[in-house]
Amino acid sequence: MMSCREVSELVSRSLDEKLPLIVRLKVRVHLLMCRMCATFARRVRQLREQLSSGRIAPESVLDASLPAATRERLKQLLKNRPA
Amino acid sequence: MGGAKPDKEGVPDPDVWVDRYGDQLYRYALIRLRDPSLAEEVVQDTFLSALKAIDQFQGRGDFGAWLMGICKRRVIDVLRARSRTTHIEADEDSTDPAERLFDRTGKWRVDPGQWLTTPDREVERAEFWRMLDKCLQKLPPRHAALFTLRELDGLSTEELCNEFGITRSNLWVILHRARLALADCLRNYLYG
Ligand SMILES: [Zn+2]
Repeated sequence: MMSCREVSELVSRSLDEKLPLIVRLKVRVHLLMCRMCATFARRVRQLREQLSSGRIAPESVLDASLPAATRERLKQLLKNRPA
Repeated sequence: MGGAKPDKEGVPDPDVWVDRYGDQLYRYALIRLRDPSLAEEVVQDTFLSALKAIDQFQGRGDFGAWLMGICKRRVIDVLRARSRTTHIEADEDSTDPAERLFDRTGKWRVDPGQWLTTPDREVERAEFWRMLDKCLQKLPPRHAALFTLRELDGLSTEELCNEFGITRSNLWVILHRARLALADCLRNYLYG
């Protein structure tokens, strides 16, 4: 019987590679019986979906912007570019 | 030199690059590098490389996306260089979040359930990202970098292993620790 700690590792690994069939089955059985692990599995997959789909594009929600001094310096740099 | 010329073959005049793309490139780099001055350097490098390589663009596709591709390459170079010079042991010594989250028999000590509703509206997405960003800041920098490149940029495990010179099992340990730590951290932010 695998522990939740081991199952969480396998759930995580399954996001990066296909697990052997027998391991997949063991994990699935555990997830059917263990609410905590099932939730963890759902959460990490959700996180992957949300980040990879670009639905949460951090570039568009972050407030940070180029400091004014750098902005000016870069503009000068591009203006004085070699022809 | 000269005033703003009309876009030539899909390339906007370099005079408008900073205003049009500067902030987006800066944020992209900042999120991944977590260092404002390094992020500024990357933006500068991106613009200069783009100037040099402008003939390679030749109006194919979206210029902004092309710039972003250069920026991404730079960011990976910086992260890779940094992971070579920082002590890897410092990362590995960092406490394994599993010690906190599981008891001695390997059972969950805390409920991993209470975090991450699906953020649908724009404002929720922004709020979610801010929380995730705070949580990423608590990870060892190399862990945060690898997690971000994997999940946000979709780099494959092969690419990451090659770029960072680590083994697959090493990478899995790092990604798993990052996921556990984030699960824990998000839970605390939402319900703490
Ligand atoms: Zn379990």
